[in-house]
Amino acid sequence: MQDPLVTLGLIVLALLCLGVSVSSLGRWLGRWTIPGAGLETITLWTCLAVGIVLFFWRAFRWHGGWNPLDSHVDGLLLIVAIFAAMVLYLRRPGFLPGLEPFAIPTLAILLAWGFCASLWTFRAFDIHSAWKVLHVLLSYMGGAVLFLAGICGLLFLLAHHRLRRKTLNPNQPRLASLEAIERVIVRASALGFALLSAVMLMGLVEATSGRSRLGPNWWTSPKIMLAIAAWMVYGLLMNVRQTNFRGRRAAWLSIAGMVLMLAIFALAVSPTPGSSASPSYPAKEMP
Amino acid sequence: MRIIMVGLNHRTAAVQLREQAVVAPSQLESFVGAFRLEYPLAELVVLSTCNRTELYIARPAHAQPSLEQIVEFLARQTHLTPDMLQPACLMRENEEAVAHLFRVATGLDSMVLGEPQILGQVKRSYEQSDRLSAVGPILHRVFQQALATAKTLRTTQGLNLGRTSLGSVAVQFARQVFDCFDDKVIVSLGAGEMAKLAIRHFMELKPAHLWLANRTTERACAMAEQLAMASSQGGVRPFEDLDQLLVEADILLTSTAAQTPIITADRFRPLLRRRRTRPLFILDLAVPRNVEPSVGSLANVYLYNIDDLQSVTDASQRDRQEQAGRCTQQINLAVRQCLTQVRHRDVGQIIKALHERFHELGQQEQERTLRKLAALPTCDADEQFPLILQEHTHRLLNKILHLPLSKMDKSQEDAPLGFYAAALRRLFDLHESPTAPPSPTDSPSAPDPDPKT
Repeated sequence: MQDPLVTLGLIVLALLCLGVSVSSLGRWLGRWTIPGAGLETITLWTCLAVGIVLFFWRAFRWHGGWNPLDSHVDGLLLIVAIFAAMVLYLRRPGFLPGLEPFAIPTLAILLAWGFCASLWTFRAFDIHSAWKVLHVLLSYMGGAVLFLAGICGLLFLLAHHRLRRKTLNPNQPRLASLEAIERVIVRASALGFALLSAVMLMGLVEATSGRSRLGPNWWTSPKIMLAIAAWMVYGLLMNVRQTNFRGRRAAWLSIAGMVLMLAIFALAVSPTPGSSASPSYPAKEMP
Repeated sequence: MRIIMVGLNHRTAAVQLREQAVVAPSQLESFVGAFRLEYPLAELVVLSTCNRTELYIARPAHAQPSLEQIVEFLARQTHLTPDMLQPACLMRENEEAVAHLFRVATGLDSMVLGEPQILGQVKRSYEQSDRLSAVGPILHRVFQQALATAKTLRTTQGLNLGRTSLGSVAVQFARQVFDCFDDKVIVSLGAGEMAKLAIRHFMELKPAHLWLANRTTERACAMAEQLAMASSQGGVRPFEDLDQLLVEADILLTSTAAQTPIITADRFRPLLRRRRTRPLFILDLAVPRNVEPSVGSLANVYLYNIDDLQSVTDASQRDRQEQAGRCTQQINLAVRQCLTQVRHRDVGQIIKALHERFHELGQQEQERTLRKLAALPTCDADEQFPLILQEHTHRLLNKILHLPLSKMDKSQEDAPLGFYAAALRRLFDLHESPTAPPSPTDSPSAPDPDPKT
């Protein structure tokens, strides 16, 4: 259901994240020395708290009972909350500094997407079985984890660039080491791969059950092909230390994987024939 | 109140003299005790480090010790002679003494500009002297302000940022590649002094293994002994194992005397697959370089030479010089504020003491007068009361005036009569007599006796 409170919350949070992104970027480039670390922490905690509150608000508000993941906006709220929690965990002192200039803009984008999904592109999911619920839930959880791997890939490239420049600017905040960033990429990819595998398995069950909206030739669907491509990318990424794909190649792979995941989500929620958000299913409006 | 600093540091005294002038922690109590016994009205903080021994003293304006007495005291306590100490001693008073303390605490007076240890040393010295009850309200105020200012400046100006030694810069770069070092292998090719210095820095990271290789095995063994390497830490490997060492190494230090590069891209490229493209940090300290520059372009290889490290240390040093300039302005402002507070406090104490003194005199006379009034027969009360009151006023005024006038005794040769006279005219708003000759000014800085003219 469309909900003005959620829409308002999303746009306010998106604007907050956008403002903090600019401040964070300036601080990390060493352009100014405003004490922004506290602001970034507050923003992340706010995104986590508001994401959880709005998710549960929507889950209970309109149906008189527990009904999460009514539509894509619920999934995005879930991603925002999980993503913010992971970033807060990773940025604790001495762990993975330097994540903020990438994480907070990502949150801004997700929140803006959620705003659009709540207001203009709202479509309810067609949840008809437990498999479908798990499929949708794990896909969003996996998406959050794999987005993290992607922004860690961006962080790796930045750290690598700094090393190649051979400068130590004491006015710029410290970045995590390449080894630490690569470790997070590998672990996030492994977790994301496991979730993605489960998602694809449940999707397979759904597709072969006869109730799938992808039709009889579901395996030729762009969404399925992209999902397989993403699955292979993350399968390689989680084993990158045993291959010659380490370093920048792994970073670019994680970024490519993130782009694939974004495309998969876009396809899954776009009003194309056979998608869960197909216009053949009437949108649920506010009473 | 006067604030004095007397001491010697790395700029004014050679290391031999500084060593002898050190006040060790075990000697501090007796040092401070002897000082307090000799100069009970003075406050004292002793700052003694490897690079300086400085005494910070606060005392009333006309009390002891003088600068010379402090030097003599320091010489006695450190078993030196005043003649040895005097030429090397730095002496500062009031604003200059406070400014010196602020600069020392901020690290601007240190051998390595901006070094961070001095702030902790100043703080510990202050606390130790305080524990021995040698610190009074003046030095409390001055040292607390100095520590707060130093901490603020170090944080806001970034004075402690930036590395100034090649070894620490190399480690800083390595930390940007690796997160932990206890599973890393460090290989050093060559046995030069530069390599030894760099290895010492890297050994602090406690790597899993440290292998030394040199064309002359004996030199590598000698270097291993000098570094006091345990056999479990690593050891010496033959130079012929270079390829295997390049496969095993996570950090490679080179400092051989080879005239041409010993590690080339053609040699290293086939080894990348055996390394599984593990990141490699190479520090080439040799001139001419031991590692071909094109090796640095290979995947996951991070190559730094001596020029790269030097440019970072030079940049750090320049930054610190600029920051020092900015800090000096802020320090000067902080010093003026601190001294203003100290002077206000000093004046406040004097006013309070003046009130108490005069009230005491008034109380004494009041009690005497009340006793006399109580002893009066009733019939004589009306007649005697004005006389008693007149006597009371006369006695009280004489007692009050006796205090300053006794100091203006012309028989005292060293009494600054001109200064006292000018101060009394100013403080009590006394007009000059038109027939009186111009007042002799012993002190050229005597204040204008009548600000209204």
